[in-house]
Amino acid sequence: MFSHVLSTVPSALMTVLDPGTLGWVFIGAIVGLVFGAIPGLTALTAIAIFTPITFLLPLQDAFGFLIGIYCCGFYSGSIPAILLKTPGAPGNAATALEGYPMACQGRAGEALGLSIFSSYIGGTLSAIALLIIAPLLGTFALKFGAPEYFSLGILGLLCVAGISGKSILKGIIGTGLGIMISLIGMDPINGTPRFTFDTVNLMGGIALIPALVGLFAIPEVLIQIGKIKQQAQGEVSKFSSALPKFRAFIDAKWTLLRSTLIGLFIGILPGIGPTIASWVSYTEAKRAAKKPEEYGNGSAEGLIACESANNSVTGGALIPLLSLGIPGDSVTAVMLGALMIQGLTPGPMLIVEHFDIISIMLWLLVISNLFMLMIGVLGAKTFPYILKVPMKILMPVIVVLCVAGSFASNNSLFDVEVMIILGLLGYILSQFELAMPPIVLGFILGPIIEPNFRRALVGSHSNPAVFFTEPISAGILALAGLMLLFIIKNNLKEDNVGRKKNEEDSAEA
Amino acid sequence: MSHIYPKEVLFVGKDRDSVLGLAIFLFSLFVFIISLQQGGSSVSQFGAGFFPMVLSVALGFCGLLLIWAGHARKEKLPLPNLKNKEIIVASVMSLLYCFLLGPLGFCISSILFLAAIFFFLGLRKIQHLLVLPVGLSLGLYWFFVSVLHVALP
Repeated sequence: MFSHVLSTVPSALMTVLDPGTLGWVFIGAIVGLVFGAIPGLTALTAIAIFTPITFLLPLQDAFGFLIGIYCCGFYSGSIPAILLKTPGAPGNAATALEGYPMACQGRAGEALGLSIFSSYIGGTLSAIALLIIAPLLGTFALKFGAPEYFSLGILGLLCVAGISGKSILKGIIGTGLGIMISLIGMDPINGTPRFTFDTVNLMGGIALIPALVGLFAIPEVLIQIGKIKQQAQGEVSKFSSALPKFRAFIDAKWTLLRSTLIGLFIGILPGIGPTIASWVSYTEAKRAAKKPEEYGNGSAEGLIACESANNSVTGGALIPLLSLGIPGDSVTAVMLGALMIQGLTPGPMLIVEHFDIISIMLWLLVISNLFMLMIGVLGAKTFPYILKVPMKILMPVIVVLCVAGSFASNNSLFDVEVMIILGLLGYILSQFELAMPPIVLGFILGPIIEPNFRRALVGSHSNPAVFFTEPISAGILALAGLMLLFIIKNNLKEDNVGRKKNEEDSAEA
Repeated sequence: MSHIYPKEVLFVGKDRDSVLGLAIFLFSLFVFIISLQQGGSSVSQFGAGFFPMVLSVALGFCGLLLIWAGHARKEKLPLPNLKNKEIIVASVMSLLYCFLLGPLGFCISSILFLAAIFFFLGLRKIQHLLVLPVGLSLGLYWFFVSVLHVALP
């Protein structure tokens, strides 16, 4: 299969070099830059809002647009991290530790330059890894049957549940709620209506786009509207250009390579994402540094470590998405929905039947990263203006976009109503610290998990041990069990640290 | 009130996680009862109600765990403050906007929604209350209808 995929690389480049496709990649990069740079809005929000538009575009244009948002959105969170000490997304929190001190030393331009070039290198190398690893994983996944797909779904849900939010129990509840929402409509095996309460509109179930838009975008909009009065504009550091000292990359070449590999590996693990990648990479870089005392005071090496890992997640997260149908992070969870909207079901059969998909994704990633580099270097002087976009205008406009997008997918006013109701429900749940990614992933994976669960039981004559007796399924469930133990142990450790800190604070008081 | 209800019930009402856990448990119970009415079929012994039943039992168990976690915690987590005026008004306006979309159409309802919410959020200049809502609504309408070929109401 690997040779088949390689043979499609040249033709995929010709497909992607279409002016329309390049235009959509560029527009996606601009959208990703704006959304990623504004604290509170992220690449995830942008992809959720604009996914409905991709429904109406050809495949390479749709994915060019989304990947443009993905790559640029992950990078641009470093802009407020450096200029305002406020990361645009959780994945850029580590960037603020080095980038902001650099800005305070009058090196804001250098920091922005280091950030953009590191992101470019990390993102491009991960695209090459996608080309090599995805077909190999897809070949292995051809051996998967119903028990394996069920187990893989459980692994993906557990990973997202564990990483999103502070409590794995709430994460698991979130995934359960998401699966529950996906059960509304016709039973996929028997064809009987389920939880429709005799409503014709619910016979087709809850549509994907209104659910995505409602659960991701609307709660975020309401949270930002709630903070509008408290938001004070920070002082933005001034700079003249965003070019780094290239000597810094040569001095930090091993850090750059290590961080890229860390981001790639973490991106491949389902449900994890750039936040963990950038922190692990930063911690490792500091541990291995010749001058660790420079970290926290404007270390170029530290900044390179964070940003290269952050963006190398992009290619890594697409690997399990395309080859197994399991998203590597929250953003690819939404992209899974976008692929399904285009009529493609990610997984090993996607690679078997559409070899060119991997090559198209490779080139779209490479071109997106190139556009990201160009915009980051040439457009740097506009960054302070992006940070001043008034939320009072932007948030209501996002609501209008959500409404139009939800209607556009099925020409249905019912979808708009579902979107806003799920949005309000999502806001209330978020106030109880129930994160949205597990709910959305549960909603997306529910139609994969349930039929495979039932098929596996039917095939094994109602013997639930089939999930543990099939070797690959047992291996995946064992991995899921280990992840669960690791996450619970981490949660307990954080609770203990928090409790000790509270006790110390009370004792001091 | 405390002499009427047991302490445990009052504790559920005082901790955020306990309240959420109770809501999840009641929701799971509701789903379980509805699932019982979904019978089996000739296609498969595992009918339409089988998986929802399994899921509702698992979810109900998680809800009980959450209630217990909230109850066992020494320092109760406060209930979230859902009385933020800006959020409540924005939510009501958004709901009205969605339900007026059909009768009034996309352009008019969007113009009214944007003008109203800009005014509520404190924007008072004529360009914010008239020019922006009209421009944005017509611009988005043009984009969806002419560029993406989507019919909006």
